[in-house]
Amino acid sequence: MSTIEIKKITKKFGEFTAVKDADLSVKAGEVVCLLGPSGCGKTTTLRMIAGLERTTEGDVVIAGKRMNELPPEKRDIAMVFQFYALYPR
Amino acid sequence: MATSTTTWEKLGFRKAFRVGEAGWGHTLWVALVSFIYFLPVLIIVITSFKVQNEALSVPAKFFPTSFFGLIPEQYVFTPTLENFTSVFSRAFTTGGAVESTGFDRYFFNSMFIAGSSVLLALVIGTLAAFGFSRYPLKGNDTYLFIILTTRMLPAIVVIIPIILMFRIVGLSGSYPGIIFLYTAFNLPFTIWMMKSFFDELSLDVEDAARIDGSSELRVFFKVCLPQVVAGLAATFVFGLILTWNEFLFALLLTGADTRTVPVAMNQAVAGGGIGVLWGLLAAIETLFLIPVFLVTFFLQNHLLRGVTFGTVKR
Ligand SMILES: Nc1ncnc2c1ncn2[C@@H]1O[C@H](COP(=O)(O)OP(=O)(O)OP(=O)(O)O)[C@@H](O)[C@H]1O
Ligand SMILES: [Mg+2]
Repeated sequence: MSTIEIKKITKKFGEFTAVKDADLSVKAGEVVCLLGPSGCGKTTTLRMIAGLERTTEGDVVIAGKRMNELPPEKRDIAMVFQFYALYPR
Repeated sequence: MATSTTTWEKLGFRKAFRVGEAGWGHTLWVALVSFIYFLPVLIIVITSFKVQNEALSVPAKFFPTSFFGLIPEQYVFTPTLENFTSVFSRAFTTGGAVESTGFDRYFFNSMFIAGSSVLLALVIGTLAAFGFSRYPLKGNDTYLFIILTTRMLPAIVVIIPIILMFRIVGLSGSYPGIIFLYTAFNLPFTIWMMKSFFDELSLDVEDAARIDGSSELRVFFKVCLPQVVAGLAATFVFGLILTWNEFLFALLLTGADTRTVPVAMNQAVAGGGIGVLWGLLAAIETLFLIPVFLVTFFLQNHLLRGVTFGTVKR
């Protein structure tokens, strides 16, 4: 159990800005709810923390280590998807 | 629920439905349509067991036995395996030495050339399709369209430049030559088919695998490929049938050693003055049917899912 911190992260899809200057800090054992209308960038934020999306600006820090360039399999993190995602067989 | 697997199903047949399950009306209708559909095949198979004058007789002799006198004599022929033996060997004069017609070689050629080019196209095409689906380039659709246009030209338009190119680089009449040509010939179809299968997959499944620690290669082989097995099977069978039947390129680009069955068949049945040897032709065709039939048969469960895939909106 360790901390997750995001510092001023921004995500742009071309011209479109999906997440802008988001800050968040989650301590070990803490339960956090990210609330917002549809399309406000919740999923995009989580995908950046998981490493499935690269940040345009800002840093993702997990357990005190900056993880911006690490691929998802190196981040030791888990995520549940909005829609089912079961492996075939 | 005890669903027992019968020997029938173990052999690869689909679960047989009893006649009553679809209703007699449907069953009879399907039987009628299948009969009309398969009648030409049936005629070919029957003809392959006839000698020349029986093959030509009018009215056609349809029955190999008279069923204990039930069928009038004029519709009954005496089955013979003569045609099948003369596919592979023949004697020029009665009593002369028997020599090989080379058809064993041609059958091998057909299987080797069609099999390897379709597999090659499947490997290259599946990788390309995955790329087109997951890592789109700028102008992705334009590339895909250009790939498709290579199949829009009739073969006859491109055949002469291809012959000249093959002559110059020395591929004419060789195995690599015809195999590469067929691979290129199959690629557009393979890429388009496989791309549509990859497009249908849920990206979340792949992301979940990435978070769980899979590398990109592992995602492709362990997560994506198992989901498109039906597509691979369908693409393989379609490609195989197309290549198996191909005549024009084979006629002009294969040599004596690399000749395929469709070309050799055309040359073998010209009976030299007595017209087409229908019995021999039918025997070659019957043998020619078997390999593709077997492949299609053993892949049928995948195939049925493969061709209906993508028609159902998620
Ligand atoms: N790959 C992408 N390319 C372009 N735009 C994207 C992409 N992914 C998301 N967006 C856009 O970014 C915005 C934020 O999307 P996101 O999925 O993060 O929203 P969300 O808060 O999770 O919404 P919901 O509650 O509906 O799940 C949306 O307007 C979406 O259209
Ligand atoms: Mg969302």
